[in-house]
Amino acid sequence: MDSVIRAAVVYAFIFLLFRISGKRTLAEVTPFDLVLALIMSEAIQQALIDADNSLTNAFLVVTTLIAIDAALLWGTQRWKGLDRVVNGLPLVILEDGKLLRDRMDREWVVTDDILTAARQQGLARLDQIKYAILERDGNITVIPREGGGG
Amino acid sequence: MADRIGDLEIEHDMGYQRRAWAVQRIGLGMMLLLIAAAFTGVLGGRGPLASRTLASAGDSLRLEYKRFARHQAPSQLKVHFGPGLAEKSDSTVKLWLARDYVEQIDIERIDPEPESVRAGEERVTFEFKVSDPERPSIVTFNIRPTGPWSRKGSIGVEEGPSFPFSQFVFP
Repeated sequence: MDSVIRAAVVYAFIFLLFRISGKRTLAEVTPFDLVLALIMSEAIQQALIDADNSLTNAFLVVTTLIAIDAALLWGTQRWKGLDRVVNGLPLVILEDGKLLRDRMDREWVVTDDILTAARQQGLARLDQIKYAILERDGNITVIPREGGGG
Repeated sequence: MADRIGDLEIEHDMGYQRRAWAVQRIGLGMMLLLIAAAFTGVLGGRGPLASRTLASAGDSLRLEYKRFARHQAPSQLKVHFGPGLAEKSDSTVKLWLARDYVEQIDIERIDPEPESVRAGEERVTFEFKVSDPERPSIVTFNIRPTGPWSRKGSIGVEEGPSFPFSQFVFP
């Protein structure tokens, strides 16, 4: 029983931390983030399994984590409200070439982030962009103006 | 709920978004609070509020221990014997701990080792030899609390002072 509770508590805690720290924080995995993820897993690992190194415990912990994940997936596609809480909503941060500053500030997005996303689509300037959207997973997508915008 | 912004089909709800931001701010504040609390010691570990010293009337028996400890983390009970606490005839102190408390800790090492340990119904008694009954001495229990949450203990010397203490163990 305690294996299941431990895994559930760890899942909930990490979920909360990720949700609170915002969309952008861990959206792109930089080499540093990779190292950070390794350190975090190391820190949480001992508490997750306590002193019980049995296969049974490991299986229970992993099963619980995946079951919660599956349950959330099932729940979010069933209930819109839960989906919003778990995954958030996409956010338009640029409209008709105009930056929506207050929204960008709230989500800690800078102009460079939008330009980076634009360049990946072969766009060179902000005025070529019709919409930039901060997606639910933290990535920025860009929709060019029709006609290429010159 | 998919509305349109211009010709963009997107689920967009600024009311919800603002509430989410508010919650996010509170959450960030709580993260900072948690870190600040860690520095005070109320989450266990080190910090000014983590340890506490209790003493019997007259200060002849004193206990220094972790008010806030953590599950399975090394911790100490430091017991100070005041002068005159030991029996003069054989320089021994018969220190007891409440059985309930002893059951909720792992005792890893006692410094110095007691001459004997006796189990009783409600108490576990440790008998220590002191070098000079007229001078203060200290024994240290190196322990690991097992199992979380709050627990009460009591400590005392046979035919001598005793007092209760409480401890909170974080999971």
